Amino acid sequence: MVNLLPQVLDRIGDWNPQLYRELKSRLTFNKSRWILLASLLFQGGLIFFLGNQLPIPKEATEQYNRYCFGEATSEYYPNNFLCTINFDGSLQVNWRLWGLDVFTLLSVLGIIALVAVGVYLLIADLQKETQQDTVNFLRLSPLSETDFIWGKLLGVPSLLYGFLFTCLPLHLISAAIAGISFFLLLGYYGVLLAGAVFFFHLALWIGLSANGKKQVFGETQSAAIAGLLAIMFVIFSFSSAMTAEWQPVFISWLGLLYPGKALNYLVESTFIAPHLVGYFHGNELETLRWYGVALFQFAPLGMVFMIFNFAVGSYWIQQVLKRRFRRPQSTAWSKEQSLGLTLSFVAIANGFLFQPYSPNAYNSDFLFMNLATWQLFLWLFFFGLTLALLPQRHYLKEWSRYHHEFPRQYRTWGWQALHGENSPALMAIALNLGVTALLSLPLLIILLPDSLTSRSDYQPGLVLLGFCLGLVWNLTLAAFWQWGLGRLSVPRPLVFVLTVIGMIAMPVVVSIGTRINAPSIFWLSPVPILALSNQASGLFFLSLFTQMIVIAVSQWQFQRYLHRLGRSESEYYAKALTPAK
Amino acid sequence: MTLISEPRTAVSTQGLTKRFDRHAAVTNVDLDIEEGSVYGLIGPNGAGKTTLIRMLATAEEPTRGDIYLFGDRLIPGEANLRIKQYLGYLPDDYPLYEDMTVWDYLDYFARLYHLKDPSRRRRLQEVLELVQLTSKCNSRINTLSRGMKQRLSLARTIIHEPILLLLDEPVSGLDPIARQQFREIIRVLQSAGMTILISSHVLSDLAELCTAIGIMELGCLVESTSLQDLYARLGQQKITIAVLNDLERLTDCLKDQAGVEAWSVSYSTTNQPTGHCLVNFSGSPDDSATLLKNLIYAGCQVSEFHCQQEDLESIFLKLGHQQVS
Repeated sequence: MVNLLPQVLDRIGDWNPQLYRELKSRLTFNKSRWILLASLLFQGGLIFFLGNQLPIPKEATEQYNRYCFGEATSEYYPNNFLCTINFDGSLQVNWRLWGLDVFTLLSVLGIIALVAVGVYLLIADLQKETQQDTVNFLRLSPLSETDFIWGKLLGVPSLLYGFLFTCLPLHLISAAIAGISFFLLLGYYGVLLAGAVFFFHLALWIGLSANGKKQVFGETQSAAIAGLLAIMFVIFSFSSAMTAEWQPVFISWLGLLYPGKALNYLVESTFIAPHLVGYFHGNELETLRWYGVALFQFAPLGMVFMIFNFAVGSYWIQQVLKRRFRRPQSTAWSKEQSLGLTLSFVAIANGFLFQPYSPNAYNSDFLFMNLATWQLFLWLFFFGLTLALLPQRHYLKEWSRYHHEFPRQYRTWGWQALHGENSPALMAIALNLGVTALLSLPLLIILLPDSLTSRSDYQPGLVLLGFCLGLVWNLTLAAFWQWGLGRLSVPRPLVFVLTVIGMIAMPVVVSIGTRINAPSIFWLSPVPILALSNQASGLFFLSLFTQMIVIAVSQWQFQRYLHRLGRSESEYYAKALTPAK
Repeated sequence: MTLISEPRTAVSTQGLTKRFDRHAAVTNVDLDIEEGSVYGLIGPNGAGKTTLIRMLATAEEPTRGDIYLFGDRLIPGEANLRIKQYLGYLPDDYPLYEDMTVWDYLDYFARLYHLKDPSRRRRLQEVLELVQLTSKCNSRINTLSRGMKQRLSLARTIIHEPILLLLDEPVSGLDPIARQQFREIIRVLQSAGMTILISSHVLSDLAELCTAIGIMELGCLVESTSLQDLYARLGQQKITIAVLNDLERLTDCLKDQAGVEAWSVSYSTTNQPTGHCLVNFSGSPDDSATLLKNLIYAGCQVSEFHCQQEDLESIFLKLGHQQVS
């Protein structure tokens, strides 16, 4: 076996040199021995801990235990049962439940170990490479981006994989004891792997951003990551609040980014009564719909969707990694790619907007909150996308100075707006907003009237107005920041955070200043749908008018600034001008 | 009919410019390097040598202008994998994987450049022999001296047998012996047919190695020519003449000689007429032979007659190039 390893590594090296390098420096005999020892200790500890929870064969005294079959202690302790004995005098033990507990604990710890530790290892590794400046060498070699990405993903956490792999037999045995379907178990592994690949891509993105800017977090794209983390925070807050009274909402979609959701299906497949299990109260995924289809009622379909969800996310992050590997300071996505990103993102997200609420007042409020969170989510996505698409100031300067020298066919306004690598991004952002409107408006027009029948104060027409105003908000911010970031060298994560705070604070400040307490103040926020319950007001027009002015002034100023940036040195000297900063 | 193949152009740049914000690091450089030549790039600090080399090595994208390597155009923003396969770049700061052994490090880079066994193993042994690190092949990199690390970096740069080698100040910080070893390696590589672009502040090394020289100043390539042409145009030939008798007779003789432009004398001791004379000479070798013959006919007791070419460093200093402040 020891002699076989160099041969295997040699084969791997011919296929992916990066993976070879990562494995070569990690898979040493000493390290492997420690990993095996740690894994055995961990598994032994887990078995010891859960073994201690089993009833102890004793005579005479009665005992109650979670793994017994007798009557429950009381209604307050529904998971504690009187222990009964067999004819041969041995205790009757619910081994299936015990097996399920071992399986679940091992699974949850496995998810945390795989994702959290793996992400940490990858970021730490890339930071080390940054300090040594070795990634730049790889950039100069003919190593393909894909080989680099997969070499890192498979190689850097290789010892972690080894640790988890040695836990696999116990995982499989506990699953077999619990009676979990083998095919569902395979599906769960698929979801787990897809989730790990997604989060590891995210880690590489952070790492490569640091590499490009010589700092821990890069500027442009980590803003998008901050957005994603903010969204996930919102989701987890919601999830923790929902237990038995679970209602499917729009952001349940992001809950699918937690691979542990798939464990629901596995627990269900054991047919152990839910009150005995005591966790995963029913399958909350069962009520969730995607474009009205109950995908998640069927375990295989639900798992396939989760894998698809991760795969789409991984694909778009991989596009960033490929660009960033070759060109550390490039925009995260090209303008064409951004259209594909928006299309896939909005198409998936919109599917979770309308959930099966019966038409009554209470559920209309649920729908309404869904619409508001959806709009907030779209706003965060577009703001992150805006910051990711705006070229760095230096590149913008080069573009403004030399774009007139491009070949005629590449010099046109249309080509530059859609394909130009370093050209201004406002047109591309407007197109992305157009794609969103095209995907969303028909959905709202068709499905809203039926969903809002019970609440006369929520009018579908106003919802459409609110949605469109929300999109205009995105364009306003894009125009403003295109101008602002062209002039100022502010770190983009800071821009992201400050803008989010500003957008939250603005309606509050206006409300205090004007003493208007009605929800119509939300016309001035990026979530105008929240203002709808109070009908349209003059604030709607004020908001629209103000935004139009901001867009026009920002564009005018930005064009002037671009013109100044594009001046040659000779022009500065000839006209005795001060260079644009 | 005999076909005489003209040397191909290995490197060609057209209007190459690189700006960092308002600062122009490289301005409108048109560079041509012939295949098989050793091209030395000199200039004061901040002249743009490193930026120019980095652009040729695909480590930096030009702001404008085109780069052609052996006729293939470097496309900005793209991987240019085919070009990278025949390019070797050794920067002035050369990061290494300190935790790897010499053999593993070279093996890794050989794999990056798609070298397959058994040729990979053979090539590793060749380069280790060339850079004289065979005995260190199983040593960890962090145990090597600076000179060894520099040679290892060079080995890494040539592991895939590039046809164009870009060396950015490769001998900086090396002791004279290490520099001598490095020069020997460069000669071997040149004889193997590699085109080499080398930037260095050690001009005596360049004078020994190079066939052509480029001088950069404030981002511009102000001179690019063969070394012979540079010497012929800008180098001053000097003749040192020492006499055992009257120096004045010697200076009288020099007045009418062909090729003699100016001279300076220095006496051996204050009260003695003997000494030597340094003559600025622009004549041909025939003229210098005639000069020697005439001096002897004139009765000068010539004890030393030594022709020498002005060195590259003097030429460079004489040009009085400006440094970026």
